[in-house]
Amino acid sequence: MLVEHARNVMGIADATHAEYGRPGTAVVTALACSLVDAEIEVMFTPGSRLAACYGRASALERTTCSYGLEPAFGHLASEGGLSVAATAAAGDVRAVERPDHPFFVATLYQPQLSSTRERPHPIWTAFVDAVLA
Amino acid sequence: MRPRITVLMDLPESNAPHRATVAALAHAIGSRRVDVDVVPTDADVVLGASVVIGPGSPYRDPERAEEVIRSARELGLPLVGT
Repeated sequence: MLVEHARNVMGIADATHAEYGRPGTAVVTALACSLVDAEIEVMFTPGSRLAACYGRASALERTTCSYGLEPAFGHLASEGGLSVAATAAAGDVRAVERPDHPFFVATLYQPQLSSTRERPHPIWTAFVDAVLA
Repeated sequence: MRPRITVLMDLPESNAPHRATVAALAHAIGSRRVDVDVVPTDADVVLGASVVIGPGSPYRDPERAEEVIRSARELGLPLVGT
């Protein structure tokens, strides 16, 4: 989703994801410290859709990510209609959203891994609410 | 017509994040009437009006995934990517 944003909104026509090994401008690159099978604390941007979904300022989430937004392109997460919805301890972007869109959320963690039948995850519940709106 | 969510995901059903994604949607849907289908990025099928970009990059067809994301962004279709 970040590559699509970089290419089609921000005009970086050759934007790529480093995992594909293709020539171009890698806007998504390997994390300095892999987060595969990790649990991280994510802090939500006040006023964001994600903050409203969770109803709190932070949460522990599981992740299988080993790639993230290239630090040199961190500005892409808050330009072109995109905004930072959550960050991790070091200030790394962990989620983005489009405030002017009915529901457009991307996480660099996996909220599905902490959902249960008894406690559906708030991101998925909010997504289904948007589908039915 | 019932709303349909397409999960764009190449991971096989034997993969834990695949199963977790489908299960999380089922948890959130509960008793509501919504259809869910899982479609690989390289499948030539019509997608639902709402999309989940599932985990498991690199995708078999990253250009298709990008086009789906672009459509959802431009058309205002609900989308979540993890």
